[in-house]
Formats: sequence, structure tokens, C-alpha cells
Amino acid sequence: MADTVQNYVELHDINKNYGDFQASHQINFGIEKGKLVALLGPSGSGKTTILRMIAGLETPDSGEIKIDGQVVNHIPANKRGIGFVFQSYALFRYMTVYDNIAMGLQIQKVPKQQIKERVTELLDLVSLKGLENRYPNQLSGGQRQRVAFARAIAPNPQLLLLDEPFAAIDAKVRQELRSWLKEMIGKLGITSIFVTHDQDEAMEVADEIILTNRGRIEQIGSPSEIYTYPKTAFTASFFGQNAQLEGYQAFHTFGDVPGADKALIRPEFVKVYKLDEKQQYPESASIGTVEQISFRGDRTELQINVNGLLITAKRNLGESPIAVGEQVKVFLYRIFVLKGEEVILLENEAVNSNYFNI
Amino acid sequence: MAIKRKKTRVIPGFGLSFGITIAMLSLIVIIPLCSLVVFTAQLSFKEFWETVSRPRVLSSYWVSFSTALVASLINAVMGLILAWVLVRYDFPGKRFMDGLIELPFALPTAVAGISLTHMTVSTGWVGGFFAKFGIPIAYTKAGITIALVFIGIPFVVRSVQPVLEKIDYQYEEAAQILGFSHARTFWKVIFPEIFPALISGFTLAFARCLGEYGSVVFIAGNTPYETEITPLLIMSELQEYDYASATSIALIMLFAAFVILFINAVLQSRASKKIGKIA
Repeated sequence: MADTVQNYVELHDINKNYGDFQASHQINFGIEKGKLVALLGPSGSGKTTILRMIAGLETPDSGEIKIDGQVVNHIPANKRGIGFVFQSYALFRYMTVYDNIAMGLQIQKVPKQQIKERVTELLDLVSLKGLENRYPNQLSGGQRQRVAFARAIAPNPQLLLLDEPFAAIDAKVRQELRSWLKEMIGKLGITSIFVTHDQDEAMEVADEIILTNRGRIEQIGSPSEIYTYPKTAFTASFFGQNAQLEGYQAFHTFGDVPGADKALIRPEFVKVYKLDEKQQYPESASIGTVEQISFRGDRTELQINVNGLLITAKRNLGESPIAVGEQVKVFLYRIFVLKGEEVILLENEAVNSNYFNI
Repeated sequence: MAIKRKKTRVIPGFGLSFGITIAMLSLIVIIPLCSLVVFTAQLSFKEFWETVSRPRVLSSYWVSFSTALVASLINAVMGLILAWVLVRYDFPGKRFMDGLIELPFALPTAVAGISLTHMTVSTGWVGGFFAKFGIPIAYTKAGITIALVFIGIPFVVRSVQPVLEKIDYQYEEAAQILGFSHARTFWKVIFPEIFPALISGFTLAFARCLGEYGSVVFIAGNTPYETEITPLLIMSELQEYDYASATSIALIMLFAAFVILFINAVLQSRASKKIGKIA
């Protein structure tokens, strides 16, 4: 037991149906203690159902949920040692910030003095000191989220569950809160699972991503692993800003995959050169026409038509500008080739060969 | 002077609609109420005071207020339960039951009075049962209260129902995870949400019960000092062509109605301050 890493949360063969709708199908995964995990997927993929089953707000039709080695299927939500942050926070509107945070402790019959100390400590932690007598409606969205967070961790749960914690906040504050939450959870060392539909959020915040699709788990892995080496067609197409195209053979020097039907190209796979710019692998570049340019602040995004295939590429501001209608050289480093549910990563063969043309 | 700033609205016609509002309010509310004051002004203050403080009138106030209060309290509890069942559960016949709630609004009050009286006299279904234990219902204050419960129930149900429908289940789930008992969840989480609506339903029912005449006169028996309600007293003054006395008593009732609605408004604004509805 000493040398094996024990999973703090484990799901075994979980199934859940709502009438004809299959919300969860054969869900299996384990989460190590202290990890911050994202349940990521498009809406309706069953990620929230999984979270709610772990919390005890829903009961699986079959399968086992274990928390800390104990099967919790029949343990009520409040005995599972969890904290839950709701999507709309669900702060009690008729209670002050103080009472909201203190409520969980009051129910556990913690002595008054201790409650006061704990709440003060938490208010300090989430930097809401001095706002304890406000009502939730008198707070901003970000402050409300921090109250919800403090309320959830007040009774010292071993597992923190967050349902779309950033969905209700405007974009600018969201960015701040992401790093705040990651830092906070790291500081507390509490095992956490959060649900999100935003791939950037999942990649930025989580140690590990569980990608769900149509009630099933597509892939589990670290953000870089799951982004760089997708194992299924869905995973490959879910991440990044993909252009899907048929007939990738039109681009030079890629191996052939028999039976493949489509290819995915992410903008970072593409390098664009002006016709007079020097290029490392001239033999494997294709000529295309720029159809559209959009300015994105730190970069420009180009839509390029290469032999009737439309691909997206990025160009940094430092590089010499390109105009609409201009002919450019397009080089692809790698592509994802899709074959049914499978995905194959193809590197451009020129990169590995010894052509150097400097 | 307040409408100096010209703000363009999607739908124009503030002038017209405001004029209609004032005209309607004047015609059906303000002018009739003013006539009350004008009629009453025929009496000196001393005469007025003597009219409204005769022992028979005083006891009619007591009958009216006590029965209306008891009936509204019963309604507050029962109406809340009814609204709860209609919002939170699904069962066959729910729509039908929901529609039934409004029947007291639609039914002529005299019809309600006659049928309730018929039921509660000592030979009726319900009255007969209680008569065995020597408890009379019709022609007592209990009878009046029953009639008023019937009249007031839609006010509470229709006030509470929409608020209850809007309460997000997440609040209850949050309470569940924190380990709230069912009772605590209700009193700490749900009840504060519906309290303002409950108060407004209660006061509307109370105000309505104070003025109820049609259904009560049949069931009350109208014994002076015992089961004579104030609206009936006004009616009998009118039948004796003593308009000044009738309007004097009516003025007292009007004042009472104002006080009740004022208390309601105060309670409402205090409750909504917490959740910031009034910015």
C-alpha cells in the first residue's frame, strides 16, 4: 500500500440514464489526492452529471463511486466530506456573507468562538475582509464567487467540486479568477474537480483533463498530452482552432494513410512565407492565396486558399505584413489524419530529412 | 416639471396612457372616496365620533377584525401549503385543481354564502356533524370565518405560487450539501424567499375579508353585538337613509384599509432591501 498511489476519487462502470437519454455510459476514472482535475466537454456531454453523482446530488443507475477508498453510493451528500460551488453560486440571499460562510459550521455544532475564528480566517483568505455584513446582492460577481468558494471550504472538505465556476463572470474578471482559484486550491492542497466547456480554461487551470463526449469519456491526460497527442477523432477536433479538410495529399511530403477520410490542421501547424522570404524546406511548400485577414491584437489571422482548401494560419506582428489576394508559400509541419474514430499524427517528412537550404 | 427630459421610448404615448391612468383612478377610486369624506363632513366631529363609537358599532369592528384576522391567518398557512403542492408536485388533475383556486374570485359571493350556510346549519352535512358535539357553526363567528377563508384563499395562493416557482433548486442543493435538515432548509432558505409574497397575500386577503359582505350576511345570522359585521351595519344605516352615519363608519373602514396596506408596503420594502430589488 505504501508504494502505490491511491486514488482519492474513483468511478467504476458508472451508468446513468434520464429516460431514453444516456447521460453517462461506462464511466471509469480515478483521481489522485491533491490533483486539480477538469471535466471538459461540450454541453450535453454528461460532465455535470458526473460531478453531481460524485457530490451525491444524483444517484448512478449502476456502478460504484469511491471517495477515499469508501463506496459512497448510499452515503448522503453532506456526509461525503465534499464542498460544492454551484454555477450560479446559490448563495443564500437573505443571509449576510458571514452567515453564508458560517452556516455549514453551525450545522456541525462547532462552538461559536471557533466558527468566528474560521470565518475570519476564510474572509482573509479570499480577501473579503470588511464585507462580512453585506448581503450577496451587494457584491460583484467575482466577490460572490469567492464567498461561494469560502462557504464550500469552510467545513474543511477533502474534496472540492465546482460546477462551471467561471461561467457567470465577465471575461476580464474570469481571467483573474482562474489564476486565483488555481493558486488557492494549490495552497490548500485540496483535491478538486471542476466542470467546464471552455478548453482554454481547462488547459490553463487543470493538472489533468477528463474529456467527455456524449456520455462517454474520450480521453484522460495532462493538458499538454491531451492537446498534443489526441487519441480519438473527437479529441483532436475539440481542441485548438481546427480547419477540417479533405484531400490533405494536396500538401507536399506527407506519408499516405490508407482509408483516411479527413485531416485536421491547427493554425500552429502552419507556417506562412511571402514569396520572397527564405524558407527552410522549399520543396514541401504549397502556394496559396490569402482570402481574408483578421487582426487579433497580438497577431493576425489569415485565411488561405490552397488549391481550393481553406486553412487558417497565424502571423506575428513583427513579420512583414501580408495583403489580401497576395500569393504566399504555405508550409505544414504536421497534420492530424482522421480515420473513423482514429487519429493519426503525421509529421512533414521534410522536417526529418536532411534538406537544409539556408 | 418632472417630465422635462425627453427620452425616446420604443412605444410612444406616455401622455395618452398617463391621462387614461389618472382618469380611471379618479373615476373609480379617488372621486368615490372623496365623496365619503364630503358626506361625512355634514356631521361635526363630535357627532362623527359618537356615530362611530356607539357600542353596537364598536362590537361590529371587533367581529369584523377578529374574524378577518383569524381567516387570513388560516389562509396564510393553508394557501402556502396549497401553493407548495401545486408548484412542487405533479399529479393527475393538477391543472384542474389549479383552476379551482380561482373559483372564489369568479363566483358571486352570495352564491358562496348561501351554499356555505346550507352546509353548516345544524341540519347540513358539516353542521350536522358538529352539532352532535354541541358546536354550532352557521350563525356564529366560526361561520363568518369559514366564509372569509373561502373568499381569501386565492389571494394567498396566487401571491405565493409564482415566487415559489422561481426558486432555484440550487439553493436547496447547496443547503443539502451543507447538511441542512429539511426543516432548516425550509425556514432558512425557502421561507425568506416567499415571505414577502406571503405577507402581501395575507394583507390582501385581510383587507378583502374586512370588506366582505355578500357571502357573510347569509352565514352570520347578523345578531347585533354578536355576529354583526361592520359592512352590514353600513348597509343598514343606508337602508334607514342615514347617509352621514353610513359614510362615517365607512370612513373608519377606509382608514383601516389604508393602515393595512401601508403596513404591507413597509414589510415589503424591508424584505426587498436585503436582496436589493430596490436599487
